[in-house]
Amino acid sequence: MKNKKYISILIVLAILLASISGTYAADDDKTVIELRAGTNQVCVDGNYSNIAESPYVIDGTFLVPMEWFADTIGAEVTKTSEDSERIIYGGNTAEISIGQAVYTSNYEQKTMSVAPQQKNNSTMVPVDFITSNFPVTVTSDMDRGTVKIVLEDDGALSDLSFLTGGISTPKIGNSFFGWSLSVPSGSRVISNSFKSDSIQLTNEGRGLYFEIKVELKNGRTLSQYSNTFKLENSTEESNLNLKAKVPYFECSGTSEYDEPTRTRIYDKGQYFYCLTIGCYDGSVSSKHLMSDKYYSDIINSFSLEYKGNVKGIQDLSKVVNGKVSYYNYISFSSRNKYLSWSMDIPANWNNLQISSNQLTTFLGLDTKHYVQIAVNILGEKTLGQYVENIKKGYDKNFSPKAYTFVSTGDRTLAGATAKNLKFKIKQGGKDYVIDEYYLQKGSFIYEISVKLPEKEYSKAKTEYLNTVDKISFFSEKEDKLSDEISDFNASKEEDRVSPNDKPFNYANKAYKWNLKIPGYWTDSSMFNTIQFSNPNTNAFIMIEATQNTAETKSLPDKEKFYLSSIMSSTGFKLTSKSTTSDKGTKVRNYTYRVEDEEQDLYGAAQIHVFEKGSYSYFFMSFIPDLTATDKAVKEINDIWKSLTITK
Amino acid sequence: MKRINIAKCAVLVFVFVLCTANTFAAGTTLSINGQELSSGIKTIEGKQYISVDALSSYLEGVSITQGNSSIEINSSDRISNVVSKVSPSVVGIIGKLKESSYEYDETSDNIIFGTGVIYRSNGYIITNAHVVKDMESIVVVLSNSKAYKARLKAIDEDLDLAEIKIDKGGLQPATFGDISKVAVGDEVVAIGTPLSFGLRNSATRGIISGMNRSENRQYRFLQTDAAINSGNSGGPLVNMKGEVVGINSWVYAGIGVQGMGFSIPVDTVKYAIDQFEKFGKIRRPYLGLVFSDSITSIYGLPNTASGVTVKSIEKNAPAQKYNIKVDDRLISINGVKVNSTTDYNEELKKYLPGDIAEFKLQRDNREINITVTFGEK
Repeated sequence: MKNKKYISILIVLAILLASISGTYAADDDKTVIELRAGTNQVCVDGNYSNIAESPYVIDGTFLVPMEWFADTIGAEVTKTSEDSERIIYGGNTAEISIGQAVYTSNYEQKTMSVAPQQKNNSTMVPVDFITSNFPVTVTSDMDRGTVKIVLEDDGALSDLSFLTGGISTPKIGNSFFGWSLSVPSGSRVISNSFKSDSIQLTNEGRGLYFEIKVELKNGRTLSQYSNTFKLENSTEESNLNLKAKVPYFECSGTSEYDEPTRTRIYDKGQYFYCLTIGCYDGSVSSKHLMSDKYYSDIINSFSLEYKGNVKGIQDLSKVVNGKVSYYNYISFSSRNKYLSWSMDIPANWNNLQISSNQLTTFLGLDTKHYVQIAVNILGEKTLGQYVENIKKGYDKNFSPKAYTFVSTGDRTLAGATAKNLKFKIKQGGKDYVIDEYYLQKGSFIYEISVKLPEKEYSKAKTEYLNTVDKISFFSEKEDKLSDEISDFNASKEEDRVSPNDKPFNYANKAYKWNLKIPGYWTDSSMFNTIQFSNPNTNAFIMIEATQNTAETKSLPDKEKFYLSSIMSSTGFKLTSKSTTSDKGTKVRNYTYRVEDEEQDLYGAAQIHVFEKGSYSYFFMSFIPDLTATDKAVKEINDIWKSLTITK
Repeated sequence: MKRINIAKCAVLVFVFVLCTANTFAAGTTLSINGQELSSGIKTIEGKQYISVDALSSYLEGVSITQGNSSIEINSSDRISNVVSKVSPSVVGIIGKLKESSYEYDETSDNIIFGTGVIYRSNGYIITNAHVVKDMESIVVVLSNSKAYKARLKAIDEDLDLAEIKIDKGGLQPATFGDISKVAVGDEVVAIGTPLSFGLRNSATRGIISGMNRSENRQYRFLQTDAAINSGNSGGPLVNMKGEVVGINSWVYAGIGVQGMGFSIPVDTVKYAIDQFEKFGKIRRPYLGLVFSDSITSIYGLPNTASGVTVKSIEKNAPAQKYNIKVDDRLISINGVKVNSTTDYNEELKKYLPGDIAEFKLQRDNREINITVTFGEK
């Protein structure tokens, strides 16, 4: 009798198990979970196990143990308080609380049919919560008391192009700059600059790379641009086609890595579009790149009609609503790099390479329209004292001929109260407004300075200030960055000619010259070239000495020195020259007016060239218009006067 | 009624088991490779029988597969058995280098990779901090070549360990070994992704070349001659039972340097996982003491003098309120001797911020005992 009962129990168990086991997913993307109300035996993908808390039914809804379910499918459950949990799965984050049917899912408020309940160490949730927050299908059978949860897709990635840059379309394009190009299958993007004006692709299968660069014409003609291109690159056969519908220049050549290349540069609208194909595996010569139909077809597929939203073209433009994200990093060494701020800037702005200072960035249209953002540390000073010092420095060092103070005040900018200094400057005969804002974030001072032509200021300032207003500051590793800026500032002090401000007798024994220079000037030397700078006025002096040889004696001054190439550079205009007797020899004096828009450099340069003993000497002084006060001009003239050549 | 029947059946089964067990002789022990095995051995009718389950857990590198009516014992290739046992728990980790990294290069694809070890079936993976510190868009590739997005959960650069998570269940977690059973000369296998991501789950073999190597770093390491290359970082060093004994971290490389790999010992790995899970970070006890290691410690010479010298005390640090001075020698913490900064850091793994410990210090040939309460940085 006992045996019979035992067998009957086994039969019941077998039926029970059979009833909750269904068909299982053959592929391992799927997870099939089967539960029965009132029993702690569960079946996952056909395997049976026991769980701590049995599911149960309340008001016609199955409640299942959340932690066990999460564990089974790999979701993350974190206790956020005694009664609350955060559940993360894929891109979904839900926050639930015991006893509350209302919960949040990705910051959106939702309601589940039955409030979560605590059973020992398990949080029991209704299956409708599971359905709403996980990619599952749920089938309930109230009569049998069973529920089947099928996770159809376990989130395995089928497309890794976000990682590899793989291109799945036959063409790529850039909707902002308006170009498209057919690329061989298997190509991938390896780099894409912050505003997508420089994109590089590679095709490992064919050993090819592609580069598409877009550059503002800035008043240059295609002929001028192609001549510069030929000078700067190693080119072979070339062809300038100005009669084409879109004029272009084309050439073959070799890259800096000695790889064959074919480049075509189109001239359209305000841009030059430069397309280069190169081969890095030695399988193709530059001649073949020029003549083979395969490569010509790729080059000829380059179109300047693309405006976006075309099927089969992957748009690589990073421009969103006319703006691009710019991230500013500060780095003083190979050990660290700090993200200090980021800003969404208009897509037609550029990162203007004006300053070599790691802490300062210039973003804008050109050197006449930009916002300059510099990071510094406040130290012991208050923001008010910091700005007051700056103002004093301007009043002391700026020339009244070029500088007019406008106003000072406070303004809310980027969520902080900023101290504002506004003034006008003259540069190259034009008036500009400089609108400066100083604001404090943590231990840093952000110096934000907008420069605009006076005539355009009232209209254009809104765009610049609105852009800056949305700047984001980052404070990760704030202490470390603060220390490094402090060290950087201290290192500038180390460059002082002397700890004392008074004139210092500076002697260069190698090239037998000496001079008297104020101790607060800084000294940066390289080989036989020495540069002194005034950190307050940005005036500088450069001195080069070269040994006289039969060859150098016959060279004109413009070719004699490494530095003398400056006399032929853009923006340098000779205004007068003379020969005088000085330093016990004949000195050839050149005066230049400097107006270099690209470098934002406006001022006067004096160059003195002479021979004495076995050396020839090149002495140049430069003082910016903005700081050319009588005192500063006298100081620089005194330094020249003090230069003596020793025996 | 059913409940009563089930209860009765359960009693019957229990009695049956007891009766059967009583027929076996007790007290027989078996020793395998020096390890005593006392359970799972039975004597039936004068003959000794060993349970297959017991045997399989003690024989290193021997695979024992049990079917319904078959038992397969395979000892012909111990290494491959170990590799096939551990490989499902070893993952490749690949992602993009963050722009904030100094190594970020605008002209390259900035793809970086390393290795990791699954330690929980629900997708928790341990790897090196230096693998994922500057990685974004982290992707984990399982041994079956399926890829999943991962997120960084916790990281500690001093330990060079990080925890990442993929939302995937039913994974095979690795088994972690016992550091007290690891000895110099033990055969080990390193599994990882050396040099190319295409080479993931590559295995190399070697031995434990040394224990407790500090090499002037913050914590101690296991030294191995198993070939470890760039990309192996974060992968496991496993013994012949297929247990993880270390997480491969760094190597000495250079002309004339061979087989000098270093792994984070499994006890440090367990410590990190425990803290990551409890606190989401390493909660390090902090006093603000900076030590100068003795020249004997720096050169790895036997210690002729005990203790480690206090070089400085950080500003506003908890140590400021205790009678600890620069040039004091810290001899021991709660009776455990310390002779280097590494010893100090290793000893502090036993404590949490807020814990109390007794420091024995030496000052001018005097010994001072100070009770300190650790702070937290």
